[in-house]
Amino acid sequence: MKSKTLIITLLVSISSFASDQLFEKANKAYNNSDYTSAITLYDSILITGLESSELYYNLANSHYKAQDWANAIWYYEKSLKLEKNEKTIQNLELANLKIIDRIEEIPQLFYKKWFSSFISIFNTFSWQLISILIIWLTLAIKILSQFTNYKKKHFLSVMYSISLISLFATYSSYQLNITKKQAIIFTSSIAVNSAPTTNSTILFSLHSGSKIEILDTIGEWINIRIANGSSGWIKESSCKIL
Amino acid sequence: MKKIILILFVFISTLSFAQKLSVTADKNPAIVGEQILIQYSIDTEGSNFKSPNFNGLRVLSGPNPSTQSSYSFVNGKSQSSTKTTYSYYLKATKEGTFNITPATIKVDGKTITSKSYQLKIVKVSEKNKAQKKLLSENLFIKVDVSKRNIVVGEQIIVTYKLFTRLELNNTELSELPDLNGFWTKDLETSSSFKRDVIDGVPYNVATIKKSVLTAQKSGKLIIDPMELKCSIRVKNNKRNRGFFSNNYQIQEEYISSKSITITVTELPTPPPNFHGAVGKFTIKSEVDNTTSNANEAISYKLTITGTGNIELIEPLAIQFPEDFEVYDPKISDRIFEGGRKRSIKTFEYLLIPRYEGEYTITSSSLVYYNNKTKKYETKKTPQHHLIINANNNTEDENSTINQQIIKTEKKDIHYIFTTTKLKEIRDNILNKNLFILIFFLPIFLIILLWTHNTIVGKTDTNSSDWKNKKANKIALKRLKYAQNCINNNDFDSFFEEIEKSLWVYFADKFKVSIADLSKETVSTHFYSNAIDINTEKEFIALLDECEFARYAPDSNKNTQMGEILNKAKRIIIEVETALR
Repeated sequence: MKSKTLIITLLVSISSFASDQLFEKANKAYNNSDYTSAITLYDSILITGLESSELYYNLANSHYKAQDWANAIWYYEKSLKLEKNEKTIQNLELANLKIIDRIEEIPQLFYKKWFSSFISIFNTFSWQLISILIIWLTLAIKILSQFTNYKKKHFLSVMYSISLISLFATYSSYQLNITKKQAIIFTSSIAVNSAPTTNSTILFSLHSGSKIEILDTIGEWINIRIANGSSGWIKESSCKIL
Repeated sequence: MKKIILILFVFISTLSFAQKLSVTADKNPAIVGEQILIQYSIDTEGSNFKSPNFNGLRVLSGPNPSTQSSYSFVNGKSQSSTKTTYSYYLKATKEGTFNITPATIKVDGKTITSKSYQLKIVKVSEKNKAQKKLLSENLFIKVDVSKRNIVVGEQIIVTYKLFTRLELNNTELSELPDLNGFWTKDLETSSSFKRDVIDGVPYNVATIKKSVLTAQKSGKLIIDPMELKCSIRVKNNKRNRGFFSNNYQIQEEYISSKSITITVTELPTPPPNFHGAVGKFTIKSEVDNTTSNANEAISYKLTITGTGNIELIEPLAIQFPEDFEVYDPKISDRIFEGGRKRSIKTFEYLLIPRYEGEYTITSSSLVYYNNKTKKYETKKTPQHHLIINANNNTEDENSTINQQIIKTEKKDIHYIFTTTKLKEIRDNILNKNLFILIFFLPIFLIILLWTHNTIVGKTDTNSSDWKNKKANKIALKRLKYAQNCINNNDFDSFFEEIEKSLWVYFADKFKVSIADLSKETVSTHFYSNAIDINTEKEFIALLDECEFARYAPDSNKNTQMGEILNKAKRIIIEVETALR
């Protein structure tokens, strides 16, 4: 039993060591402007079941240099899902300038903006951990006050409200990052229908690289919404879910 | 009267005559290959001439308009006339009858239409054919192409040579070959005839045209035929020649070369900085001064030597230091045979370094396709290190401080990350249910704790402090209305309220029905619950006092009220504490 676990840990360490080497090799290929082989090398790391926001970022950069905008945007978004980074956001902006569609975002109300920026301070996992930590701390203080005649009632109510806020933030973060499904269009041009049938009215058309939000799925059709608020139905095969 | 009629008649007749567009041909029928002159004429000035449709006939030139005006003065009578003619030169390419549709012209706002014209073209007679054959043996154009299978960007030389055994009076290029898909450069040719013998037959040979063609696209490119109009001097065979008439007559003939197909293949996938140079080149760069002063011009000369499409080579992308002012290069070349022979092209850049320092002009490279080895080759220029010293000119000292604002105009993505910490791909998130369990367990515990406090806390006799608080609370609650009465200065109802409150409190506390309420029940219940006898006395005394105060008006009720309230409060607290 012990030897088995040893072997497993050894295997994992070997594979990660090999992957690090692959990563360096891919970086070298990128430096030599050999973007296609850089992409295949980065992809081979992903195939081994490993990931990191930097890996996705480098892959996106390689796709950008190879002028494959849709893939570049997809990997930048993927990288941002793991970790927020200023470099990634700026590169994504540049990549978004290269694609055909320019979707004007609906301006958000100021408190919504504040709230969403507050939520994006931590990822969902961190929010979960934070809210759990706070509620257990509150419990500990409550128990402590029970047995030691601790009289600061206000402090406890502050703790209660903090835990409530953190629960709300966790819920919102969960909704935003886990429940909400996003995708990038990969077909060069696709008509967006008003209903999940091919003979329904065509509302507008989207081109590769545009980001969409998936609201609903019926068979091979998905109900999508873009940043300017327009929605419609397209076939699922024309996009790649993040 | 008669005279007037005559004049009128003449006038009308001339008028009607003037309005006719006549059509004539110099020969009809004509022989295949002959040149035919068709003329449309009208005896007045016209405008807006519309060409007829020459179905199947080739128009060599036309319409060529011409106007003739004449003015005559005969026997005191003056007469003027104008004639407008539009002429066409046609060539029949095949036999048959050709119908030329009517042409139209506008005269004084009226449209005048000519008749349609039938032109008959007949076959060349056997005799004539033989003559033609003889002619083609004695007079022809030969096209020489240096290579027929080339790649894009490769060059070929096309030479048109005129072979003749006849006496030529004059030659004229009537149709230049159309060279689609080629970049053409004509080379100088000498037009003089030289003697050449082919298969034992002597010819006079002249090079009419010699061009270097550079293929610009792939595919089968056709070099169209070239047509030449030759005026040949032939002996006049007719017997009835006059004394002065010439022995010779001029015969015009059109001859054309054959069209040639060149197969152009695409280059293999080019390296990124390939810009279409094909051939074999060497590259050289020079700087006239490696040590110079700021604001003094330096010349950087890049020389490309070799064979190939050197004329089409554009200035290379050279990375000059940012602080250098760079002017557009002066391009000079010496091309021989359009680059077929060793040619030179130079790019001379004028650089003005603005600041002192050490600079490097990095090497630039020329990538070209060698059509001999069929490979891409790269030639690089050396690097140049320049040392720029500060300029000691007084002019510079007077000038204002010349600072540079750092600007970045180009935008590019950020560089990649060089290190990373790879993790296994999984949803890095707590399960929703697990999270709910962990989060709501403490909440549940807190709620449990709170309910425990409220239920269990009552029976907890150890905590006297907590008990007092509770009793106080109850007293305040019971005497709420009495307190209200003090605030409203309502004397009458105050004592009533106090009395009522005390009785109701007592009834509630000891579960006594309202009917049984009396001072006796008070003492029995107080006794059975082991309440201090003093409390009992005070309780009864207070009730009495209230009863008394209700009916005996007193001047200082105000102070009395406060006292009584406090008393009632104290009694309730005492009872509550005793009951615990």
